Amino acid sequence: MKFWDQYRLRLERKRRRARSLRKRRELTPAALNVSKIREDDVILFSTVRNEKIRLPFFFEYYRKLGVNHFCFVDNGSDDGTLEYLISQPDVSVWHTTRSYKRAGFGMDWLNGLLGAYAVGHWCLVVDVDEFFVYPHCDTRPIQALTHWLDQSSTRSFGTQLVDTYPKGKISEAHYRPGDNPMTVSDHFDTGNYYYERNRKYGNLWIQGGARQRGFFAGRPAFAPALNKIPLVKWKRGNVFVSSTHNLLPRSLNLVYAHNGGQRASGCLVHTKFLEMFSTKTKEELARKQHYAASREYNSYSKHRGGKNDLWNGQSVKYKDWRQLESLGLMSSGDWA
Amino acid sequence: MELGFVILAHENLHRVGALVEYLAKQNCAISLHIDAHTPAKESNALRDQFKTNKHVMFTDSIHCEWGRFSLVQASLSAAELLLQKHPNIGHVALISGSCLPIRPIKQFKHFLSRHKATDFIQSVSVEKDKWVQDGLNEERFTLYFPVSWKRNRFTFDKLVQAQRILGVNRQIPTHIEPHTGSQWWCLTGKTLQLIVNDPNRAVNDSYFKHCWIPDESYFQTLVRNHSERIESRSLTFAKFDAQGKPFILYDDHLDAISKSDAFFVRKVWVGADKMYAQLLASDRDKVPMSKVGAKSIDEHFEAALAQRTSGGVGYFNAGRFPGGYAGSRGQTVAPFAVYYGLNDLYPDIVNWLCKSSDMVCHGHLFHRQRVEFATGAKNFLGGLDGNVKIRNRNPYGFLQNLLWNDRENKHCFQFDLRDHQAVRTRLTQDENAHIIVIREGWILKYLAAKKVGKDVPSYARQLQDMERAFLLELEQSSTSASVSTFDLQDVLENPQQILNAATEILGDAPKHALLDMPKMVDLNGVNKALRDLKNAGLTLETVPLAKPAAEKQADKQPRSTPKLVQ
Repeated sequence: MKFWDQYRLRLERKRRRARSLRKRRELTPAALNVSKIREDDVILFSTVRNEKIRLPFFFEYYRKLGVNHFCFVDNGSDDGTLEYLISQPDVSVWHTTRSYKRAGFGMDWLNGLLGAYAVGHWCLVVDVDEFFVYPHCDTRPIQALTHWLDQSSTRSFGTQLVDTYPKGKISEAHYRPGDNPMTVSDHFDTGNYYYERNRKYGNLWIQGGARQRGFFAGRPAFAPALNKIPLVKWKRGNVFVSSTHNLLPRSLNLVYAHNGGQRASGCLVHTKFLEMFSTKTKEELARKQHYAASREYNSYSKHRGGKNDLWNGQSVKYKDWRQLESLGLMSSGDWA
Repeated sequence: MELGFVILAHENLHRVGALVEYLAKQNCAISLHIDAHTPAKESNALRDQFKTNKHVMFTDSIHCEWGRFSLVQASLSAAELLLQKHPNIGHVALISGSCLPIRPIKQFKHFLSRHKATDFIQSVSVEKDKWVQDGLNEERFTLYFPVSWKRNRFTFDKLVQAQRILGVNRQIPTHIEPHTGSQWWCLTGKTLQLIVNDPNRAVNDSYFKHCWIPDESYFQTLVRNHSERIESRSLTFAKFDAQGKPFILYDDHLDAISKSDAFFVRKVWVGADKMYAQLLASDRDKVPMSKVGAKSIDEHFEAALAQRTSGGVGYFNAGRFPGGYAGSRGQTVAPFAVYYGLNDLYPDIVNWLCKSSDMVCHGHLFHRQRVEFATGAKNFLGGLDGNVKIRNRNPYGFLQNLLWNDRENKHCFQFDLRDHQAVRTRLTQDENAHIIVIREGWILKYLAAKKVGKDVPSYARQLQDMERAFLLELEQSSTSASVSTFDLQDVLENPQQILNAATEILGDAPKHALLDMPKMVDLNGVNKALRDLKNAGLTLETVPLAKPAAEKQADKQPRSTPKLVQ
């Protein structure tokens, strides 16, 4: 990489950081428990809007993994999400009604908060419908992973998003608060993912899965990116660029082995497709606050499924991380 | 006293405390060294905890650095202190603060009582054997290492390089024959006394001070001068990963680790509550020293190491994307077969291949209008979609996925010039690809297409040019695929040959003798077509057939002769 390219990335990083500091001022604290954060704590960051129904299981899952503190940005929820979050003891919440789109789809806000509270910590940046699955996550807490990453002088951990969907119609996948969404939206595509490298940022660019074949078959190049780097040891000056797909400095994106071996990596199980999805699509299309002119939601709304929306004969039921590893979708690398 | 321990600790002192307490209760002497960089609050708390315990003693703290003599210094001073207080001690074991006993101490003592004069220390001669997995081996002893690798990697590497260029070769003291081995040992009190009170101690220390990683060579070397009997193995289980740091043990290793034939393990994760509770329980039963599965934990970590450095073929994930040289090979999971031109000769070849071989036989996987999976379905294993646009977005990725998803089976597919060509270059560069090519197979394609009224010469030329380009590509040096080329002439005259090659292409014998031949395309037009094409000015290698083999009996028409063409 040429010096000039490196310098341009440095400028981009500075610009994004400055922007995040400016955008951070749009946030008003609604519950501040950041003083409870201790030295080695793992902190989770997320932006939410009207997700109250998902929150009970979300907390159950991540508390069990060992996440010590949660930081949320609430973007104008009106279904009681904010109140629910405030009532939790290990949660800090910031509130804003400003534009999600103009805050880099929420990333400016999160970059701002990360810079303020996460420096020196391992932090997990996920949406409330994403569940972080890493090797041995059934027997080892997330601190075991972060300790090992520290020992290996590694500062970030890569994952691949795996979309799950129910058998049958999405609108009939009934979900009640507290249910495990991975047992309702419980099928996934095992082997139709395509891998490329993004030269500019150095990250992998993964596309495919159920969303590509289901909603983007006509324009596969526009299918959503599935590469995510949700777990990062935060350092002053780091910024997420586009969602958690890539970061700056560039070295944080090199989470994969390029010499033929494999490094430890995980998956994010993405349980977007539950009954709430159809109402959410209408709402999001009206708000026009999503990436690339809400391309994704547009495709969803146009899509008319038959008996099954996404399920087909090749779909496989989701079990656990070992299943994902044997399919080659993640790897325990040398973290045995 | 039968048994003493020298413990080197530098972090998680609450865990060290638990370990020391457990050992002290078992009537063992413990000499502790706590690193000088450990926060004073923690180390003082540990000292206070054992202030009144007559079994536990603390040496003066120095700062230990990985790979440097300070680690040996700490072990030596702790050992000296222990020997001072217990000059007649039976055995002394060196362990770290993150080690745990796999077996009860009673069992360990019993084991040692049966080996009263044996020193358990891995000690491998540097000249004769190579214990060091990666990095410096002999140079550890013949170069100078004045700076820390952990802190000054760049300077360290440059200094090594410079010394190599200058030809630095340190004089090894005559009484020393360098040996290396695991840092963790268990020596008899007598041997340890002799090493500590060695008349050459000053020479030894000053020599090893400038060696690299002396903690893996100081005792391992000197024990050769003083021991009566050495068993060259470590009683502490430790495995190293690709970065040279020990694999960390977690609760889920508990079952496998208790099968190991060692007495201690390192290194245990500080949060492994279950492991600490179980291995430090005061009422532990004897753990049988069975040989069954003793190596299973070793193999477990060796497999992980291989996976990290070279493992995995034919698939990708967020932690694996081979590039450069690695990216040019091992991209597909298994050998597969590609037939160019065969489908035009035998329209029903796919079905025939299905019957005659064990391969999964796809049609034209890269057909422009559709994806012809072997199953005839719209999608394939793994959710691979038969959508042409998705396939064309990354055709080679599509093939990789197909092969990976059904990796239990062997695959073959038809490929010709009318198919989507983007995959072609990667195909020829894939060492797993076995390609059968019929040279001038395009003539058959032309024959098939002529029926729909194509403009003869220009279409034929186009096909010929495309095939030439393809054949040129196959001849290039970047081609790793194994290519078998057949001339159309030979194929027409002796079709058995190519059919044999097609079924045996991946090294398997055909399912049964090839009695039932596939139906060849109607060859009546071939001779006429060849003449027409030649008359239109194309250069062809195939000459009109004297007697098309498949038509020997069927052909009732008068044979055309070459003369007519000219």
